[in-house]
Amino acid sequence: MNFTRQFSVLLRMSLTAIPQRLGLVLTIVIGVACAVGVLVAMLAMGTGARREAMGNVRPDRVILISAGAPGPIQSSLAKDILPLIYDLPGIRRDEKGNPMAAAQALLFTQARKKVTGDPVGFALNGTTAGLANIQPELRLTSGRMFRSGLHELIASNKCARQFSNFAVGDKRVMRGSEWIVVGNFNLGSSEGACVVFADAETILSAFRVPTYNMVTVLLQSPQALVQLTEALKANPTLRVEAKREAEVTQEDMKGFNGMLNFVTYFIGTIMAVAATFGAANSLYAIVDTRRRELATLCALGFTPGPIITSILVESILFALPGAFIGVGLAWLFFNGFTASPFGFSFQLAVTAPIAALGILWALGMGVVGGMLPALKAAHMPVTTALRAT
Amino acid sequence: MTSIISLTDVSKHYRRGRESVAVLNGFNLDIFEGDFVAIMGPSGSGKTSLLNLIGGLDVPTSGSINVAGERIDRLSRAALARWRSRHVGFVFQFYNLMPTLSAERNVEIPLLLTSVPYAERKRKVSAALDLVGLSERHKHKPNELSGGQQQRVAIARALIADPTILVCDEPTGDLDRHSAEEILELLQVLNRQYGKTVVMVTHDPRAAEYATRQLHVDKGQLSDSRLGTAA
Amino acid sequence: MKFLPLIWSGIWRKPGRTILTLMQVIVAFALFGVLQGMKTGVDQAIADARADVLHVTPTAFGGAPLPRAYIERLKSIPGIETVGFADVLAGTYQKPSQFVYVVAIENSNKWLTLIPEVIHVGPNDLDALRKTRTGVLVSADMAKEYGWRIGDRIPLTSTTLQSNGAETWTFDIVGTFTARGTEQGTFMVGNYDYLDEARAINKGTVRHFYAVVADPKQAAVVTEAIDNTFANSSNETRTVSFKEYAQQQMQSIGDLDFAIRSIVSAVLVALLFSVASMMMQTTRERTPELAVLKTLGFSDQAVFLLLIGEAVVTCIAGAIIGLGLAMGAFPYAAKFVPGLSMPMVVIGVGVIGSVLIALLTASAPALRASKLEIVDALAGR
Repeated sequence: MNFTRQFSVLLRMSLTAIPQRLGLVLTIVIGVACAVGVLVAMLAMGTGARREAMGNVRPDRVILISAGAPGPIQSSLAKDILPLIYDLPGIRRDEKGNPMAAAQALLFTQARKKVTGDPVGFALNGTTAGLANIQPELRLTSGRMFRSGLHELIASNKCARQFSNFAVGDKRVMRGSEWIVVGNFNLGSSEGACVVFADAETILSAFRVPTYNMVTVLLQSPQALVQLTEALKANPTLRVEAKREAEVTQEDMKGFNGMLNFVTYFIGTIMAVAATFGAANSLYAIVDTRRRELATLCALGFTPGPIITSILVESILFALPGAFIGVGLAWLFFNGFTASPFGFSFQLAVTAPIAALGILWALGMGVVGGMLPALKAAHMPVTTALRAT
Repeated sequence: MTSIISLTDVSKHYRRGRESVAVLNGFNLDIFEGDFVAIMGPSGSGKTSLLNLIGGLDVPTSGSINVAGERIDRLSRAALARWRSRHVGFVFQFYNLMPTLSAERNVEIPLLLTSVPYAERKRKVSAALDLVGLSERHKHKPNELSGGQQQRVAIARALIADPTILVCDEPTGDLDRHSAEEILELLQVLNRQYGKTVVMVTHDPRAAEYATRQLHVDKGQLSDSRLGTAA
Repeated sequence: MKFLPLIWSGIWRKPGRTILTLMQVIVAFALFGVLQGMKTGVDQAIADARADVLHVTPTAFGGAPLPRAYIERLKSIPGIETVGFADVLAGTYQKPSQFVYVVAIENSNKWLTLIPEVIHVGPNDLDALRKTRTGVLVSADMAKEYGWRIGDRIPLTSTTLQSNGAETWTFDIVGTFTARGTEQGTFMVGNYDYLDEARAINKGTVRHFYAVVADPKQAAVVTEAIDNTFANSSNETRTVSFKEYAQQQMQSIGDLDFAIRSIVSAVLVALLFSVASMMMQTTRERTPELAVLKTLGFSDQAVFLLLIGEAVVTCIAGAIIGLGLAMGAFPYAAKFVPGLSMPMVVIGVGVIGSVLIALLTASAPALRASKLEIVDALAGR
């Protein structure tokens, strides 16, 4: 009898007997479902966080910081080099011929959470004119832009929602003087973190900070970065380097990403291993129950190949529903769920690639779990099995 | 002679679906201390049921069973279990040893249900295995012993708690000629030298010849009772 | 117990199956151990954090530092016992990506006992620091990482320039310090006087005050008092107790608690199902064997207890091994998630949990097996 014929006979025999072995089969399904569900949920966290952070990132937006600084926070750019920076090649210009660039000073101050009253830090961004140019995704939803020279702030809607005193008209006391919130805005489509903008000069003098942290520019085209970097290299006294916004954001996320990746794959692997053990255990038991039947078939001339393959296929057929259930449950419970770990707030995203990964994971469990039992089934000592009670 | 086992008007019915099948009906039997009884009969005759009732594995539907002065038909499940551990030793056709335990641990099992301390237990197990001639194999597992040897371990187990009666269900059914003879001789020794009352169900007329009494059961009735040739 | 050999032999009836089941229990409890360890570590860190140490910093991070003279005003606030200060020099060593920070402290004796969780200096080391202006104390970890020894000269490059315009600061290693907390710190301890004298800007300022309150219960009151003293001035302060820091840090891990609970639940469900399934399968296969035990006189209860006993022994063993593995993984996992620990309570809970799992999964099959009719079972029905 050829391979396919043997294979289909074996598979049919086994599948029709599922009702008698329901407990064992369900064990495999549930084990795989739990392992895949957890993996997918955690991957969704990572994807959601990344989407959130990278949501507004543009390939033509570049951040200039002092050379050697690990990030904008540690960088400092003196006021006198700003004109030199604005003149660099590759920077886009608006209709009036002004460079689309803004220098920004970053300060971290405190706000209080609305619900609990706990203090939490937020970024105060003192920016020069040009904010509208470099962040076109900023859309005011109420109020107006701040005016230069005045103690005025605009806050993102996230701030207004989560923290107290960020709505239009609210007053905040900073550095001994009163500041007033004159506008609320959204940053593109994503929820985003809480960001507050104010006039650069006012901030610098109020907080007695002498230098800016960074300059954000829009390039003529994403490729123009090359021009810009060349120009910077040719001018080493400037001591400035340019990084794409994507790069800076990713570095910012590194710590969080690192932890999340570790947790995801550590836990995911552990659960997969446990599910695989469970699957193997159940399959061994199933093979045991079929001892007589398999031995008889062997005596009749069935070869090991089809037996091994049929059991592996069975294992995969049991793991797949588990995968779908796992992905389904993760999607049901966690898609769109807003998580706020580490001060980051984002929505979990159970995407198609994640689902696919979950299913592949399950397939892996099925194959690995089924391997040994399949081998055992094919090498059953015929005579002892036939004598089995 | 006092009867050690006394069945009076015993009936046993089984439920098969909606039907009630009578396996034994108004059965009467007396077995005396020191008897070696062989019960024979065609399959379905009720001989196994009879053995189960005598050994306290089952309860009669009606009638009374008196073993060594005790009405075992009146005992609760738990009490019956206790009674079995003290008064009956079983020997089965397929030995029924625990496959994962050594010979000596197998023999020890009935003693675990008593309060006999460890050292004493070891002594008794040793003695039992000596009796059946298997002291060298005390650490062997069943799969390392031949059929005849396994059966001897089973007999040692049956004897260990010094039971009132030995109940054997086709003890030689799975053995070759030679081993079967050894086992039957052993049972005979236990009966003659140690005065054990043995009740044995068997198919084999030659096995029955080792007994002191032969009973024939057919259709739930005692059809014949005669003294064995070995009396 | 004399029944142990019997229970043991029952457990190992099918070695492969027992090992696989054991593995699942082990893995489940290892995961539980790690996750629970994270949670307890966090709780412990908060509990251990000192409520009586208040960290006073400029209100805007990145803004101007505080005048050193503030120390007098701080000392005069009621409830405060001692005040220490420190400033930080950020520099790179050898490579622009290798950051080394110097925490420059005033070398008074109060640092012997001020905040040993962060900086624990012995009297000899403090003395050495006093004797050498450019001296620094390093932690054992740092010394090992960079191969430093006492007597070495360490040049750091910093964006904080010296008065002479130099960007290289040279320090001499004169001793060591430790930190009683979990982090040894990636910083060295140096002299504030040297830093302040040599630097070009921000002379006479500090960024960190450490105020110790006499009564931890008064911490909140004193915190407000401090910030109120300097509010509306040109140098506002922000005061946070170490305990509050710990709480804030842990709060940001907030949602992780929910995630942990979900994961542990998923693991538990899968485990329960798997073990239950195996128990049912096994008892079904063992009916003949169990019937024989009954013929030997084992009562229904005895058979039930035997089977339960097997389940309990297996689960407890798996739990202990799993929790042991979790504890073994802590040093490695601590790099990613700080402060893991496994207090006795968790182990106790784990073991009790394993017994419950055994009871839950084995009760029904064991009960069914215990009630079987000997005659039917022996006959193979």
